[in-house]
Amino acid sequence: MQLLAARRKKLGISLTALIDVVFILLMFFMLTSSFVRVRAFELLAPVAGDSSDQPPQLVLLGSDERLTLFDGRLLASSYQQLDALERSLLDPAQPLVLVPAAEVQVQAIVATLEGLSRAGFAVSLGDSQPAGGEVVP
Amino acid sequence: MMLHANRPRRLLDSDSNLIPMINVVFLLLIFFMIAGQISPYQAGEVQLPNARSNKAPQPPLLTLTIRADGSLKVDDQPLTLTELAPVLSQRLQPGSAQLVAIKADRALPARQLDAVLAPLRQLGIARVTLYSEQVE
Repeated sequence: MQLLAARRKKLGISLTALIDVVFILLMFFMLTSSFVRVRAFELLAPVAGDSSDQPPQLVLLGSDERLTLFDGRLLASSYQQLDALERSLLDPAQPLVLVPAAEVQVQAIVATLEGLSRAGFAVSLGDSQPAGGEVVP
Repeated sequence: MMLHANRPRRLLDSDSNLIPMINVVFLLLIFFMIAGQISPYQAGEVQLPNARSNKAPQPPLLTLTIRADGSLKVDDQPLTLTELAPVLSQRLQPGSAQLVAIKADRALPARQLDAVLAPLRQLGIARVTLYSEQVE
């Protein structure tokens, strides 16, 4: 016991005080740190290549999650399943412009933009479609 | 040796009981210091959309925040939609390569996002980024 006491004196700092400080630091980092990683997706990006030769391909995102071309041909039955995208209807060399329906939420827009760009297309966001579909106000 | 091993721990100095706990606490401390990042408090602001993209954001010149009810903020200054266009044309040079960041709530409808993007298009701002949260 004497030996132990002598050794502790040499250490100098009391463990209890150390723990106090460490706990305060721990509390600070636990409360202030966040594990959410903010990411960015670039919109309206200047697209490479001359788009004046051919108009950009417009892709409609409906409020029923369906992705269609402007002439009504179906590209994917849901923006969440872009693995099943009808690639044959699209020209990968031409940029895509996503046209969401007016009531589509940002979550769906971001997921679609990201899925299409992961599928290898240059994609940007266009104006939304008016709520009535073909009717232009 | 046997004697030593059988001796109950509490007979030793009480501080030596604390050492395993300190080890754990230190590990937790190091974990939170390294894995977490200190972020500004954002509750009540916007819930960013979830995405799997892994492109880290670049520092923007201007940040537009749009809450789910459509209320707007440019950097930290609240604005109405009609005030937006003059403020933007004042702060941005037309046709420049300056980066504008948009923090839009995930429940915001496309119609209201349009209303914010339209003045940016008119100014010819080529680089606009939409922020999202990475899903783990």
